[in-house]
Amino acid sequence: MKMNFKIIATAKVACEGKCDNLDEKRIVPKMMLRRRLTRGARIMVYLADACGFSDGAVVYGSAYGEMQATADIVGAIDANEPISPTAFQNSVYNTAPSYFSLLHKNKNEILTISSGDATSRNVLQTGALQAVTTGKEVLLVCSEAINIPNIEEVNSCTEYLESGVALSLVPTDDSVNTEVSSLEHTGYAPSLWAMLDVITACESKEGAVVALEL
Amino acid sequence: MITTDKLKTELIELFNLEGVHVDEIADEDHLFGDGLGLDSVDAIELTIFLDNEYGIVFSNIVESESVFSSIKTLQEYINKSEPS
Repeated sequence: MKMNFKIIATAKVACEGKCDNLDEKRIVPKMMLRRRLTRGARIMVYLADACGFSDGAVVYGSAYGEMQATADIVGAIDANEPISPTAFQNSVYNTAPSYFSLLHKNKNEILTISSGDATSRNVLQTGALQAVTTGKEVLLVCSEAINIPNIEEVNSCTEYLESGVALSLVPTDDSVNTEVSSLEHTGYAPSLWAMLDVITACESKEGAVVALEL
Repeated sequence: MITTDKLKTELIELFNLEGVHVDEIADEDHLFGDGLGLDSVDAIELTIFLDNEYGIVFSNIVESESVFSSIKTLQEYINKSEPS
């Protein structure tokens, strides 16, 4: 079953290495919060800011999750050292949207999804359902931050070691005016492709209405 | 022997205190609350750091509370604990 959704805003970012221009000092002025942000969280708050979204339900996805924090934990275990509590708290999949909620004091629901290459497809579906359920604008974000030492030994899926996509949507009774095609988004992790399909179709188009699978 | 400036540098790096410089931190500044503003997670991080870097292990929480009171008390404790 498909329903129609108005795409309110879209944003994306991608860098072959570390994304240097995420405007963290403006977006997260409190240093004591900013210092804890993972790369995924920095991408998340940047994309949310670019979408003008700070209050509402969020659906977040990442196929690989918090790679650096996870690597830090594995490294500590391998070296028979104590595990850093910061790495521990930053290693979970919902780290990025949680920091977003702390930053904006957003008490709305967060859903986190990780399902390999199907991640952003499932985020789209879950976000659509969330928007239908609440009738309110929902922010959908997917990001991958795999820029960790020696990643080149195992990475064969993406040129962009840091990347993210975001869009916000609301359900609408308006007719579809934008067709979404499945494309190959070379350079991006396949986990982001389904949302990139929507963003590619809707960016620079005000009032885009698309049909999404529920 | 560790100097207070060296300790401040290590704490800035450990806690990723962006934009904070050594000369902005007074020796008497508290590590927690209204001083550097560290929190309970940082307390555990600092405990692990002291064990890894200086071989310091606290026998009880009361001892660590007084040591963590300020930059100066921490520096003095590290120096007192260093093997001669």
